[in-house]
Amino acid sequence: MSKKTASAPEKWSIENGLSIFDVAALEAQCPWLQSLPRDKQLRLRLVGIEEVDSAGVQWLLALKHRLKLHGNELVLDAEASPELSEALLLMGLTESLGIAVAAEEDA
Amino acid sequence: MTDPVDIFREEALEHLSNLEAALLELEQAPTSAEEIDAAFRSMHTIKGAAGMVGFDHLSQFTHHLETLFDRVREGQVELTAPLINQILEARDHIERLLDDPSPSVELQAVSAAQIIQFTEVTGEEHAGPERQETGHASQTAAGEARLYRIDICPAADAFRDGFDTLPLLKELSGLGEIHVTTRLGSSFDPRHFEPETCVLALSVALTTHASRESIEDVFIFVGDEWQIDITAITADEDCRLGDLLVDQKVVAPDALEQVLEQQPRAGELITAAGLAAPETVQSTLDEQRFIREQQKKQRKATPEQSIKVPQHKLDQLMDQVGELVILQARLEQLALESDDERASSLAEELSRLSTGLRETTFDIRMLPIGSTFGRFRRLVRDLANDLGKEVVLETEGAETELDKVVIDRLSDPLVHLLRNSLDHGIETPEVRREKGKPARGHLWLSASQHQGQIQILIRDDGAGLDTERILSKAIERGVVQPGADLDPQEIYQLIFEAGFSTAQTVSDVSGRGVGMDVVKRSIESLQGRVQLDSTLGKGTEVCITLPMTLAIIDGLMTGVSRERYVLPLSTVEECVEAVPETEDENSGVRLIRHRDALIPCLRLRDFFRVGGQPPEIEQTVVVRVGEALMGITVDEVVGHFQTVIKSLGRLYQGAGGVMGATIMGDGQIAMILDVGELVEQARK
Repeated sequence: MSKKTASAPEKWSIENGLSIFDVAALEAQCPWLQSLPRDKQLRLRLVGIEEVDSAGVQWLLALKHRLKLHGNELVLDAEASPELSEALLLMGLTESLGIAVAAEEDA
Repeated sequence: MTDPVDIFREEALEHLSNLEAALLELEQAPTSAEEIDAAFRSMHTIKGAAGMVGFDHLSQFTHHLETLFDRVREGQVELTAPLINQILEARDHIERLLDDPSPSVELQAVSAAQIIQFTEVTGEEHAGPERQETGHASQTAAGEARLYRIDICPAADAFRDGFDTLPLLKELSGLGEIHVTTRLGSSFDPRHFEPETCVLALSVALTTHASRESIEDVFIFVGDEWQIDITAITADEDCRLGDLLVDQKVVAPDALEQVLEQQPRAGELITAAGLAAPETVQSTLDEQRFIREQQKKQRKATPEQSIKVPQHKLDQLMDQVGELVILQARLEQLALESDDERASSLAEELSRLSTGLRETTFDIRMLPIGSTFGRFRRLVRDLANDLGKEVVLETEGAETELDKVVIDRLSDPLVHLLRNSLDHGIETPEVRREKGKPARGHLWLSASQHQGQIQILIRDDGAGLDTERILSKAIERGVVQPGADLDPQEIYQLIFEAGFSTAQTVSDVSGRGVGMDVVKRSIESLQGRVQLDSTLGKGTEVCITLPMTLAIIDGLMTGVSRERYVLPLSTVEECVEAVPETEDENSGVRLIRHRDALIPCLRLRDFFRVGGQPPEIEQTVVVRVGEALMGITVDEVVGHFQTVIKSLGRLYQGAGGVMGATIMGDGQIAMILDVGELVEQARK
């Protein structure tokens, strides 16, 4: 158990699930939200998300909102699964949380 | 009950009852648009809700019934008697499917077989439900699309409780064209974000042909804590940016008002341009303000909401109200004994409050008896078919209210009485024709409130009771002695003796010789009475009289020596100081003159063999049971008493003339009189 504050990653990959069963664990992975330097960009990769619900989408919204409060930006890189696309479309978030066409693999 | 699956099951059972009631009506009037709509709505709602809580198989199954009713509504399918039978079978099957989201292979096979039958009728491809199917929901009469604005604010625990907004949005999208705005609501705190707590707020603009009810149905299974506002937006309604932002709680109304204040108003511009006089503009502004206020009021006017409460909680509440009433009586007694004015005033205030609380609690527990009538219609229909009889059940007074506990416990005796009428009372069509009766028999079931009691009548136009046969059977069974001289009423009552049956054949329905005695005991356990009357060849009538509640009654406290007796106030006509005018030495019946008539009078002192000397002037309470009047003579009339009914122990259960006991303020016990039985005793 490290006492050091974890620093914000520049890239983050989330796989498989983005639902009520995952959000607590996801939230626990981002303690750096409290101590972010400004003007950073977090690229979040959502890969093969098969299970998504509104708790998952809420977590994404909250993440984006909190990053923005610190002057940072959330960019979603996604190989948009049909489930995730449909959820964002239904909730009217395609533009605001927009998943652009799958980002180029730049790693 | 917070488990969404439990809520779903309970609601689904209610919808199945509605479906069944609609089908039974449709059997008589197959083109009734109202009933077809009711059946469609039941299936539509179960289908949507089943999908939400993971009962996918059930959702698919009900989809086919929904389609069927849609075709019926469009006039493409005719509701024939065999088809109604099939749907009733499907209704029973749905009830079984409610047990498990993943039904057994056998149940799935039954589903498949029934689906094939329905798809043959509808001409629908045998496939699962499709998204666009929900678009067939109850349409607005004009067929014109309407615009609704739906603001959804889920409960904070919605996610933890297993709810998700996506299935709701999917269902709304099935009703028409939607535009959804999702945002983090005002309860979102970025510094203390709990990801499993729902802080979402959604606004949906929906253009649809569906009715408002269909939209409300989408939310039927969400918790009571959710805030759902559905507003129809008329074409001529303003739709300003500011108003929308206020509606979405993005901008506070005051803030918007301040910003708008800083701009020149249209009225000022018009006045400055000399287009209209200032006073004309002002009066028009007043009119506008009025219209807006009215619109705002209309928007706020939402139908009264209701909540579901488990029965045991209501029972607990009733128990506690009972204890409170007893405590209040003790305080009253204490105040009386201590001659303390302040305590008296407190006791009075407490009495007022506890009476109000008692009445409110009663009111919560009261349900219309019609909720039970519904299922009897199906019972009568199926049983009549099995017995090869034609029977119509007519009901009356379904709105009569009774304590839920009484309704629940009344159900089995009523089922038995109806079965008896069908099996032994109403004849087959052939026999009825031979007797010159219409081939179709009639059964009447009615409920009404009468002198603070509930009267339930079950009447048939069947064969009636044969007193000779009953008497000979009673003699054969040793219930009465040979040569006994009994009037018809006394002979009818023999039917209620244990093990008595006159049925010539033992059927699956009744006639096993068990039942009528159980019926009588069940009714008596509800502090009710059952009476029977019959005319040979014409029919039989069973009359059940019940108290409205089993918990607390308004009573009249009376005294004989040191003993206290409570009479249900609903039976009391008046109290008089009267001396008996005559006394029949043989029967011992005393008669008093009451309003120019002689009525029988029973002295409680003699009836309960209470010791001591009676006072010089005794009091007589005149009571009425049905049409019968009777006097009950006591030493003194103490006054009104809120009476918490406590059951008697086993030792006293056979005691005649009492229906329970109550605890008084001084801790003593008072017996509650069973006035009906006392009247019977006086008659004898």
